[in-house]
Amino acid sequence: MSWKFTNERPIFLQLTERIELKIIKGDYPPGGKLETVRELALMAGVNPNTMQRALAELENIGVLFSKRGDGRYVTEDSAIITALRDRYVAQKTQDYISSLRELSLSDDAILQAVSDGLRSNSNERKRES
Amino acid sequence: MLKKLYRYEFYSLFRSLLPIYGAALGFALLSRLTYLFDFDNLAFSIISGMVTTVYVFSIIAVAIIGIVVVVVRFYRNLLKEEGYLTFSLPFTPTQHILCKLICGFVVILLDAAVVILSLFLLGVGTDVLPMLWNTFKEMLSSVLEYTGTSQLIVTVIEIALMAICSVIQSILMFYASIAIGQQFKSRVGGAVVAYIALYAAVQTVNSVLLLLVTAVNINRLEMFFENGVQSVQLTLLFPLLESIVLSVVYFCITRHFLTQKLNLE
Amino acid sequence: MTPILECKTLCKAYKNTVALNNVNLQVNPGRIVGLLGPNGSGKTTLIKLTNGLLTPTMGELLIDGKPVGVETKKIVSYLPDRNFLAQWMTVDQMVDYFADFYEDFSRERADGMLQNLAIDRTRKIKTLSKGNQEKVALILVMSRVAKLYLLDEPIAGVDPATRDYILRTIISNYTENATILISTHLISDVEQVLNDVIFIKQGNVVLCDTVDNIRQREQKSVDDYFREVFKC
Repeated sequence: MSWKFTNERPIFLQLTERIELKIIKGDYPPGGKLETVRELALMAGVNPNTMQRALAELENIGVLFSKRGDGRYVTEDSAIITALRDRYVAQKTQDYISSLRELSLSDDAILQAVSDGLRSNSNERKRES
Repeated sequence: MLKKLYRYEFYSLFRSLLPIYGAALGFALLSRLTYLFDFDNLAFSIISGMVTTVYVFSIIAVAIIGIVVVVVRFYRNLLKEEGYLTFSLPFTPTQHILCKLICGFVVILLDAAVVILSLFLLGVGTDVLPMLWNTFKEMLSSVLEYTGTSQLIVTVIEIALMAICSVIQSILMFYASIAIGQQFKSRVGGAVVAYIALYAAVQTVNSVLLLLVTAVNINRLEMFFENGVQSVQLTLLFPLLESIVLSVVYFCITRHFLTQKLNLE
Repeated sequence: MTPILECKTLCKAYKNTVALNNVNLQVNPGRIVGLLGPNGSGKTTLIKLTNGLLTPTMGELLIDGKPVGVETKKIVSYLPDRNFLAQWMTVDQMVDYFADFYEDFSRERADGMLQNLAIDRTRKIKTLSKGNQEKVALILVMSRVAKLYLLDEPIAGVDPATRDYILRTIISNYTENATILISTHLISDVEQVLNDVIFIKQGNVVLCDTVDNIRQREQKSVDDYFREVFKC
């Protein structure tokens, strides 16, 4: 059961990220309905209060909205979801770049590494299919 | 809700006692049946002897196991692991002790009833029962002649009260010993020591009281006794009072240790 | 809001040890609270005091504003750290027992959970495996719609699958206005289920905070922080 969490940050923050990612990937499509707080809490193996807090947070920033007495839904506003995706991509890229910066790589070297990586990744994909 | 507490208490006690009661009565009946036939047959008389022996043992078992079951139930249900469950119920320790005491008392009464009933079964249809009945009637009339009806009733009530109080006192003495015993590392050992200590204390107090009474001068007391009946009644009054006082003391000890000093394993 | 559990200068001393020393504490309704501390730190003593199995040496302990007694036992559901079920009863009899004595017992909940567990309810408790005995005990305790649940070391000494089962059972029976107090020394296993934690060290409450606050402030999990606070 349960999702894995990292140690150094509050769990509710990690929950919001996890749900955001599911929305970005389309596991929860725009306008789609979410499970109840209790079901989500059971899936994640967390306290329902914490899940409640994470969902409230997502509601605040407009990613989710709730219908009275009928649970929570993903926003239908594609601009918000696109913004989420952009932020996610930017964040991951920054993480990647800063981890390579620690090795004092130049911009060119980083670019080179990325294009090499892309090439071998797509070769592997071809081989698999 | 309290009713249910008693229901569970009786259920758990009779769960182990009913088979023994059944056996005792069954063997009494069986034993009686073997007397119906008078075969001149070695095998039959051996079987008949065996049945009677088993009956005697089952009667002894009824007498002993009754109190054992009552005491063990108190210990297990309140002070072993089950105590966590029992003391979490919405009842006070006093209610628990009273429930155990009353149910225990009923068990002892039933023990006696089963023994008497089995003896009756054994004697039914023989000339023993009418004989006993006649003897009883003769005794009763001669006693009545001596005492008069009202005095006899008073004495009988007194004796009955004394029996009841002494049963209650002995049950509570076990409870108090167990409640004290749980304070020690070895609970059972502690309870045995506590029982012996209580017994010794009571004996000491009794001896001192007896000495005091003697010191007061026995002759002067005799003046109060107009006749033998009253003397018997007065003499019985002391143990009766003592039983009541001791019961109260044991109850308070038990309650104190189960509320203030509960020490579950 | 009346705190569901409140300790005021609470002390408990045994013959030659002080188990709890001047504990001041407030637990609010609607929380899952971890009572965390090494073995022998006073966790079980605090839980036993709350359930009336011990009497305080000094100080006061209030449950929903009331002193411990018959009234508080009606709203407190307690799982001790040992097998407390009547071994000679069947599972069904044990369910009846709880239903008879606790007005807040929900047969529906118990039936549902026992069905999931797929055990023969006509079997005596003593014939069940140790793991199933523990599960039945938890099911009975969580089938009450109590205001305060006291779970003493519910996950100590169980295999990971059972641990997951226990945590799932706790989460799925938790209602918003109930409080669950879980004592344990296995923090990493329960951390994500908890709202608040109480650190207890040699009979003293040394910390009382939310899990999120601790993670945010210390930049580490409660488990790691616990190891730091209780370093030998």
